[in-house]
Amino acid sequence: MRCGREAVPPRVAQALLAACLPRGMVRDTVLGDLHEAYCSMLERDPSSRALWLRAGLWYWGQLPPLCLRYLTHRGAHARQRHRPADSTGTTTRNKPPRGFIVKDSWHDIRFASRTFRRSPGFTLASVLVLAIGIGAVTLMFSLLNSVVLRPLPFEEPEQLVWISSMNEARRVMSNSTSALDYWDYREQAGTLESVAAFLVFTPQAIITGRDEPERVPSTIVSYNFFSTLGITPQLGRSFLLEEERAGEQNVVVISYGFWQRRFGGDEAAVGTSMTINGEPYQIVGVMPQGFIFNNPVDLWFPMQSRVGFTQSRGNNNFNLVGRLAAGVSIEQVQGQLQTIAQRIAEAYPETNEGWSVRLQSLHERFFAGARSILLIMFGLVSLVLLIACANVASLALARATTRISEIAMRFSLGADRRRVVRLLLTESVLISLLGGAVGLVLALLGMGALKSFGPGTLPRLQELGLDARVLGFAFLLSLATSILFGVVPALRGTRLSLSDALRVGGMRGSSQAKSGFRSALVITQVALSLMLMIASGLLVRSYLQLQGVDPGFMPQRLLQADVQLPSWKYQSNEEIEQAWSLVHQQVAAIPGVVSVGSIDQQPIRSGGTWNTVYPADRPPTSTADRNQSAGDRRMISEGYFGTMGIPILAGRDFSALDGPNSTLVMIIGQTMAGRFFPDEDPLGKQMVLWGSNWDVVGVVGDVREFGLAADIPNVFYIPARQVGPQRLQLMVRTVGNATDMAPALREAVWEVDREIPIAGFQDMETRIANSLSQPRFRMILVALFAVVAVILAATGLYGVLAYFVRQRTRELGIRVAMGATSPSIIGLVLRKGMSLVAIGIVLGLTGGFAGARIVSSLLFNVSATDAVTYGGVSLCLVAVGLVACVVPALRAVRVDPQEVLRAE
Amino acid sequence: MKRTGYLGELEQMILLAVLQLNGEAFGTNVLQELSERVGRTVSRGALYVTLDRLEEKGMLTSQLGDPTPRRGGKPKRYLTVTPAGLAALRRSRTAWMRLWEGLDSVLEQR
Repeated sequence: MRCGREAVPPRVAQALLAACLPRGMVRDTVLGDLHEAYCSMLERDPSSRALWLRAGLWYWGQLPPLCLRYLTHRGAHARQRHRPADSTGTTTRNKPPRGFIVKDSWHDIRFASRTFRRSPGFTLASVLVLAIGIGAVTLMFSLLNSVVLRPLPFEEPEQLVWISSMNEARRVMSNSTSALDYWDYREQAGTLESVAAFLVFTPQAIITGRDEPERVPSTIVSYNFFSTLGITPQLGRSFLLEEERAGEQNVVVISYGFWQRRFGGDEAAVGTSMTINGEPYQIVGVMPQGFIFNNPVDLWFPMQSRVGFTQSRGNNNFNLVGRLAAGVSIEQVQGQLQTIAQRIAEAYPETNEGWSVRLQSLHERFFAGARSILLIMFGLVSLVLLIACANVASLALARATTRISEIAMRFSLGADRRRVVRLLLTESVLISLLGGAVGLVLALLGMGALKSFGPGTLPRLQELGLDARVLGFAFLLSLATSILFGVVPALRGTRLSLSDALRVGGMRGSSQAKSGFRSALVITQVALSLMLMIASGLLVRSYLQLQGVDPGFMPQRLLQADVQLPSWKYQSNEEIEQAWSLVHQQVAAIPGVVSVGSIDQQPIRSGGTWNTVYPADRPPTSTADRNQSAGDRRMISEGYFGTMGIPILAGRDFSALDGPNSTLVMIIGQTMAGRFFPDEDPLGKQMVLWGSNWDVVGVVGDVREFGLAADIPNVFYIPARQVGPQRLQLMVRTVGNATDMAPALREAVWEVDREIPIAGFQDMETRIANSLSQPRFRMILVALFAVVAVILAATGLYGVLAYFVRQRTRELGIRVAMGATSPSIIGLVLRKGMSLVAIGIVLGLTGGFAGARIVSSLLFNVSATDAVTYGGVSLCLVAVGLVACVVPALRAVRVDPQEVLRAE
Repeated sequence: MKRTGYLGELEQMILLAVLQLNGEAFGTNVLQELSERVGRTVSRGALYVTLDRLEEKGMLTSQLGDPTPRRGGKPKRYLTVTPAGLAALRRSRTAWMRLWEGLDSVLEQR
């Protein structure tokens, strides 16, 4: 029978239900009935996921009515069951039967909601404060949930691994792999069920024919790419092994979006032909909607169709993703692949020496970075909730003192302490549930805001939303919150002796202890908010440092555009050179353009092309040497440095004379010059690249290639004219607003040839700003938390002082009557308030110091123990504390001694 | 809670359903019986609570069946109507029949 071990009803629901039901036969048989009914539902079709979901929902649905029934009826039963026993005197107990608890709880709830109506101020304030705390934590949790916790949308995603090449000597921990290496792995790795390859880049493919020319991102994959991920095309088929090897007919698989856009979702599209990059391709399949792996693309080609990409083991153009065979661990696969890599390295030392292989789970690869950052943020947000709890606890304590007579009345009427504590706890639970509900609304609003303003670089941000997990989390969080802020006030509020409480002046003695506890709560709030302020201050400083980094070029009024020559029209170096010259001439002639230059890979980017390169007179002799001989290669047009504002430190720029037939020339970056020619003049030296000698003709300033926070790599530049790239990034320095020039730029390029696509307009200032979007996002979020925290702490402080002044009105009145001056009265209140702040600051600084290590991974050029930040935020908090003290202090001054004494 | 000795409607229905099931009655199939015979859907909570009450009043007894994996290792509670339950049903039936007497014509007019 299928229904046995596999089909277990939702465990949580089961546990909750068990808690509601009376122990013994009733509980067992009811649970059994439900289990059986759940099984029967599933038996209709055990493989249907929808049915599993429905059965689960059904089970959960049984929970509320059953619990409600039992909770509201149990009291009656229990009484009946106990009555005969009592009358015979066999089991007379003073303890009320278990059923009472439930019945009474209902009373408690009704009573609590009545009290809320009587004190709306307290209720509203507590609910709001908790809502902010719970809302913030829930928001961060939902972010964590959708970005990190949710599984990847592939079949059995936990079996998928990312395989990268690594070279410890070169300190390259994750590199792409060559097609030839990949094929070796695929043939020899038995521990992998399958392993697939896909191109590192997503080249733009140009589609001509039916409609206007369109440029779409494409990639090249191994024939088993889709099957490795466990995704089948929605229409048609994926690639065949022959198509990868032979490549006789050009075939392509298209994305759902492209299919909708280009073919209006017509199923007849499969099997038809389409002109891509000037050649006919047959469409063999359409992928399902939403299928994205690594980067969004519209076209997938089988590997062999771009022969150039797959030649030589030095051409590391592919990323690998594998699926573990059943019962094999990731370490076993790693071991086997390393053995294979070693074999390859021995056979091809030229290209593969020192290279090995590294495995990561796909989830780890995609989300490890985001996870650690989000966890840190989550920790910081939790501080806000703790502060909120302390704040509400202190409110609840204050209220407890006003309820002393009510509580005393309850005691005198025979209620035991537990009963009253429970009543107070019920109020806490209700308040926190209300706070949770409002917090959920706040979290929803926050999600909307995050989706529109959050950094686009955060993976899966757009999938942010409420699901069962987030709802459950918010619910449990609310309950936990109520314990945090409710237990102590409930216990303390009921710790009074009858005679004390009923005496008119009795409240004074016991309230002394309470105000001590409230002070402790204020200190906690100050300390926690200082910790948040420290984190926020460090992030702000770090962000300012980042913003102050010189990118190495002038980003103002600099427009970038992505231009690609159609490969079928421009093939020889001469044709390409000619075309680029014309493009540059046309663009330079636009009114409002100061200058123009081009590069194949613009700065502020993640990753790029690197090559082995070394001085001709000092070829690497050892492995260590070879590992040091690498540089990031850029192809540029003449005028690129001038346009970008990159200073030429020595030698000259490229010129139109550095063409395909003249001497090969190279310009190197300052860092690279320092590396290869530390004590000599690099000008006139020769470098070896691709087996040829290149004359070094110039040295230029360093550029932040990989973003403002990243180290400056070894960069060298070669003339585009001498290589003939079909795709370049046009860089245009303008007189006015850069982006306004985009239409004119497009027209100018189309003057040369209407079939040259131009896209990706972006001004470099925006590009730099976007590269900072994650740190900016973190900074704003944490700053927001810190502000909320400080406001909460300040109101907490204000509350305690106001209470302090009210409690001591009589004393203050006497002091004034005895001739105390206003400053001395103000000083009294300030001393009280600021001493709390001071203790809080000391604790907060200690806590911040201890916790700073956690945020240090998010910091740039700022020490996690930065004294300026610590001092600054402390002063800031002192100022806020003073403001919070002022009103109570002024009230203390205004105490009229005559009135006070008359009241006595 | 004072009881007159007459059964409530749901109590009556449940006792009758248990009798109809002839020794095989337990929670889930009593629900089915009610829904199939009279089209009445009763929530599990209402059923179980009523069963408990009937048992407390001595109108029902239950025996535990063997636990099966299908039930998550929990026993089944087989229900039997006691002589007291039968008597209560009879009493109720008599009362209803007396009250209905002579009203057939009124009902037919509608």
